[in-house]
Amino acid sequence: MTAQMTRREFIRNTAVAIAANVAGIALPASATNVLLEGDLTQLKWSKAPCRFCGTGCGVNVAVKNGRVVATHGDVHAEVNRGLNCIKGYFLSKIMYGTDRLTQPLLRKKDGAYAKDGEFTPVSWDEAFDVMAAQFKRVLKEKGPGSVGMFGSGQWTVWEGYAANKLYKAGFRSNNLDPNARHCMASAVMGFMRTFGMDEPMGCYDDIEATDAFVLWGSNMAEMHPILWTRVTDRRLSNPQVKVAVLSTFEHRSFELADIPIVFKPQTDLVILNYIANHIIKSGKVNKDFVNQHTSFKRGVTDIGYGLRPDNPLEVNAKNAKDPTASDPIDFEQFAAFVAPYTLEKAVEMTGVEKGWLEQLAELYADPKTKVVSFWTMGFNQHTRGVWANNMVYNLHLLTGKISTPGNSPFSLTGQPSACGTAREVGTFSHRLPADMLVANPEHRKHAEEIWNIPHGIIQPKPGFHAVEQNRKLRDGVLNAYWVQVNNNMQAGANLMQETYPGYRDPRNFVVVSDAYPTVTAQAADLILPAAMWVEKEGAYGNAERRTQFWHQLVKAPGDAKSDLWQLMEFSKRFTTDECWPTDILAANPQYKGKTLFEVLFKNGKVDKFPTSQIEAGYDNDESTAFGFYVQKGLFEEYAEFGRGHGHDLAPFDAYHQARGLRWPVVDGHETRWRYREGTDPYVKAGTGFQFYGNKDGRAVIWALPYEPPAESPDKEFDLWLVTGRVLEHWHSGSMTMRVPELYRAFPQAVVFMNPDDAKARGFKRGDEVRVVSRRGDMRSRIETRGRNRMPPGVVFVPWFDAGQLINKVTLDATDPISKQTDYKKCAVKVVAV
Amino acid sequence: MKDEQHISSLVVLHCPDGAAIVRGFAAAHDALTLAAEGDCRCVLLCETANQRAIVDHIDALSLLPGVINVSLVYHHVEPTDELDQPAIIMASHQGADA
Repeated sequence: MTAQMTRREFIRNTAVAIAANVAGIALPASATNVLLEGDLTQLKWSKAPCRFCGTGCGVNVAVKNGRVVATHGDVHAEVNRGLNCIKGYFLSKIMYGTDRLTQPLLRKKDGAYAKDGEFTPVSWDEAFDVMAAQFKRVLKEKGPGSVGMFGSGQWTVWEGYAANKLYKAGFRSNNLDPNARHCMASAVMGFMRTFGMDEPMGCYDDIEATDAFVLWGSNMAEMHPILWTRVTDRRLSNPQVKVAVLSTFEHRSFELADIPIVFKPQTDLVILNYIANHIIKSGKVNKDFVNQHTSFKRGVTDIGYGLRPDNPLEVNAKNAKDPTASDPIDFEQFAAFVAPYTLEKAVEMTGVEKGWLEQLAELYADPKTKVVSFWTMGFNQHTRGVWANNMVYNLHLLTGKISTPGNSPFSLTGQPSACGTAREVGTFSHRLPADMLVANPEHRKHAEEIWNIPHGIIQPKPGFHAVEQNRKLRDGVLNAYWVQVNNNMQAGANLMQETYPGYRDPRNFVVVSDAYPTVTAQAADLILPAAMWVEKEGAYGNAERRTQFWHQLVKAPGDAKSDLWQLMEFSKRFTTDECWPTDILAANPQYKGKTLFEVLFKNGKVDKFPTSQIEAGYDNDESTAFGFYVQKGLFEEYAEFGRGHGHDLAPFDAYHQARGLRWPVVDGHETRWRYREGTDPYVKAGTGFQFYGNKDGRAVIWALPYEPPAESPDKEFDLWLVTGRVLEHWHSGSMTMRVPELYRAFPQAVVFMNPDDAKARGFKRGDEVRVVSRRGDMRSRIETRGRNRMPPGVVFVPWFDAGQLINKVTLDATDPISKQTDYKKCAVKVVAV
Repeated sequence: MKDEQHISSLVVLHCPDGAAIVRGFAAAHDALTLAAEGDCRCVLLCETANQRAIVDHIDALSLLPGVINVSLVYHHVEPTDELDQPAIIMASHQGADA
């Protein structure tokens, strides 16, 4: 810096130097003499993970006068190395939408709660009084099976953990499920069935080590743009690297594709089995690896579509009642099973050119090519999503391309803590922390011991999963219901038939905690204003097992409170006598008459750490309210589940220093590649690999077939409908639609349609149309250009727009194993308005 | 509208044959300056009077043939008249520095 330099020149130089540094472009030394941060600008910078997707980018957050004023990519974060996507850049604005909720709102008429009343501002006391009375009424009249909660992969780790305790131990209800059911459940069950343990074995470091990327139903360019930057960088800097992109339509990720593949919906299953067959037929099986580290199973078929049990598709399905059953087989039987999936058959069923399929298969088969497979919703939101997950693992296991740098089957996540909170904390209706199950008596006993509650409190039967919760609300079975950090009225499939009626049924009391008046909040009876992101201390876990913390940096507006505070404060209004069976209390009289707050949170463990341990200079509103370091106590108790069991987390304070650590963290060291000797401390010396989630240490190769989708186009409903996201908006748009720049970039959802399909129906670009299915219809406008290029017969509609609810149209068919909805395939027609 | 200036930098990743297209686009837009070029990537300096214009440029760049990815790395905003002061008075500026 010279005395003659103007501020403009100085800032220009700084902007260029930082960008060049991030991009790895060398600049002359004279141009790099800059200050990197707002050194003298009265800004306080702190680290936090981004609030949006599951990538887990690190950002630096600037606070001035109690308000977040700027964010930028954290150059010290390994995930994003200083880069930010457009959503991440506008993070500073998501908390300051003009319609932010700042006080509880209760539907009232004549001064009292009424289902048909108007939303009226009330105090927290009144809100919780009414809510507690409703929950107590339902508990008394119908028992714990009629209370429930729909949570989120956007909950912080301790919020999910507190909810898990409140419901599964406090209320004795397993009717707790996260919205991660909509995005990750098939991946979870895929991992569990193949490896006996959830979450990827590899990490993002695989990107820089691989020779080939295969995207199975993942538009990373728009949905995971920062990881896509790393993929792009690897591909462009190394000409030998290949990128294969598979989808049912052409999207932005195809621009980098060496092997572009648009296949007919559902036939990804055919491609997967064709590749397995190709590997075997071409003699490329890694026999040593297969013999030493794998076993084979054949799954049952004809498993139905997870619809209501009286649906003919379920009644007629042979194995709808037990879709997970299987028989052990051997390699020869597996080879015979996939033998019919020839190249010719694959070409015929998928509609893909022969050459592309062969090139794709060779990426996996060639022992010299390291392969990373990425997938998201294209695989997971699939009525055979678990199978698809199992089948891609087959390819990596047959070739031994797994758990080594650059060889990685990698399931990406959509939410910032789908892994950290929904999966690891076990907020699913069938799970407990650290992959444990409510149905397993040993697991329940272990959880009860850690939670310091009597044996027998946790119920053995899995609760209602996400889609089932909507059905049970509609049927009047689930009557007291709390929704936090999600917008399921917009996100849930088949909303007119299955979602909305249950929310507005007079038998039901529905509470929604949110920062903004989403369509879900507006359908509730009580709205609780929530603190968000850096208005509270938090922890997220990203897709590569990286746990990341942040401090509370600003105050929440008005009376908004964090979900954690809401859960813990609400627990004070219940006693064990109101929630637990008399025989258990009689046998354990020390618990009698205690509040749920006392037995769950003031239990000698969660309240062990004083507020004096909070890092100086940061607020912590929950800890101030409850008188102990709430987050630390919850985290340390939760960490007991995983330490020594392959899910080890570091001590709490370490995460406030590090830019995240990938579990298992053993002796202070994170684990980048699991299941391999030398990189995973749990693998015994001399074994090479050990898939220790399964008792025999072997990963399972699954024989599973192609089966058709629940609904296909016919004469009347002649088009496939695919739904999904766009770059500028995140999920239902609750946050991004409140950032003017993002709203303007993509203000309204449109129907992406093939130009010939549009012409055949007499539509021009921009025409207003109705998208109609057997379940409902919505209005939108035709788009024949732009980022998504549709093949004939397929339309795509993004779901961020609350003004155009595409889920009026979608089908609530789910994978029968994972219970995850297939949002990618149903039959519609598009007609003029 | 306030008289302010937004100075930002963008990293653009492109195919080998996208370099000329990005160069041409930058040359045709006053707000953009090609500040550094590397292998299949470049840094663009973007100077605009408002934030929306930055997003518009990012959108337009993203849609260019051969462009794979555009990332905004650095953003700074402050009143225009302060920008032409000597850099030494930096301590007084009020802008969001990122």
